[in-house]
Amino acid sequence: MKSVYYFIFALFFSFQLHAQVAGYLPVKDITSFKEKFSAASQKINSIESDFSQTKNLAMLKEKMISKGKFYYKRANKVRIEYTKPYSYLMVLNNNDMKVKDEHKTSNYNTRSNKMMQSINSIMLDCMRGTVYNNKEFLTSVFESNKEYLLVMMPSTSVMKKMFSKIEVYLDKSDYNVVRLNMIENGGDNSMMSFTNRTMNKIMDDALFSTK
Amino acid sequence: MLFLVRNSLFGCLLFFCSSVFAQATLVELQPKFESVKYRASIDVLNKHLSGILIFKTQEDSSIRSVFINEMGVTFFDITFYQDRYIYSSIMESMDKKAVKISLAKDLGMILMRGIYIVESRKFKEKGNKDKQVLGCKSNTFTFKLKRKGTVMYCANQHSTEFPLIYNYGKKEKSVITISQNYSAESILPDSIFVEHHKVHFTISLKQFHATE
Repeated sequence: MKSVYYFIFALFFSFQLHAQVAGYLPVKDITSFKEKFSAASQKINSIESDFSQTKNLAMLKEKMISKGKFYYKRANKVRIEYTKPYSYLMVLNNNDMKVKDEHKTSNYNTRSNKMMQSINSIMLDCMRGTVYNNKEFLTSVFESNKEYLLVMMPSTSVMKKMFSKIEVYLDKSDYNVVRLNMIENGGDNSMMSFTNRTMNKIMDDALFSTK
Repeated sequence: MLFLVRNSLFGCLLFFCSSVFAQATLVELQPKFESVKYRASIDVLNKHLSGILIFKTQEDSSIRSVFINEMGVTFFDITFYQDRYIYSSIMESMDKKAVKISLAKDLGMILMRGIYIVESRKFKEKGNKDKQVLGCKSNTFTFKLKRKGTVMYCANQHSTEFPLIYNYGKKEKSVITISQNYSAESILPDSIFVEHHKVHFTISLKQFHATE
């Protein structure tokens, strides 16, 4: 019986170690954090922000950097507009998705595409403060002086194929997402950093049209 | 009897020399580079995928080919060796035998490896008739595929660039055409367009630089 307890403890400890990031310690009062995160998210009706995305690929020496604009409108509208080094647009509106590149505009129903559905729900969960409700991940919370860090470990086979983990960094002062780090199984990652945020600006629904 | 033996020996020698010559020549023709990034869009099975396609020569001389989307999610990851290719990963919706074979063939034609019959590789200049039919202006080289068909490369005068590549079957009618445009700065083409004539399957690549 004792060995079973040791095994469970070791399993839990190894998960914590695996999930932990240098400079961050586990949050002690998770319930309080969840309440405050949820309450802060309830106050957000819209976000407009610049973003910079850095891709680190083990196979390449150099980093790949792209930039653009990010828009969110409650409750389930997201627009990610890449402007450099090339234009690429992704709009999420409920279960509909529009992707526009230099060649074509494509429309998807995220329900019929698991990958798109997952990206959709990750994005929205981060903005709405509902990360804990996402059944495809097990989430742990850590903190530093200035930030909270949500470490999302995939729990389904589909997600496990796509990511080793996702890190969501929140500003401690207002619980807003400042960075989103998607790490793949091979160690490659894409870090999105959000700057110049404007909160609760009135946004036209046309910005989120998927037609 | 002596005549037969002598002829056989001569034949063997000729075969051996041509095999060695053929292999060396294919390697000579292959593009040599460290890494190249392309802005890529692939239309397959009524799906349009866009992202970044990276070709990277690895330490063992194999070439890794990775296609990722803008969010950083990997669509597929294939490594091309001289005589074979291996998929490390491919996204669920593309994980179909026919798609995987076609995709590897297209990229193998561009990279000139992984898809050809090693032991019967042939290197030859085609006659003027073929050049005229396919519109090749200078040298042409043909190679037999492991699977059915042949691939013809229409080269420039120095055989360093291949503006047109054709894959054709027994009827010598092109089933896949690849057009490549080169710039002075790069060994690999600046832009590439792959078109399948029997099915709706196209690949469009444009070289780009997005680095720190």
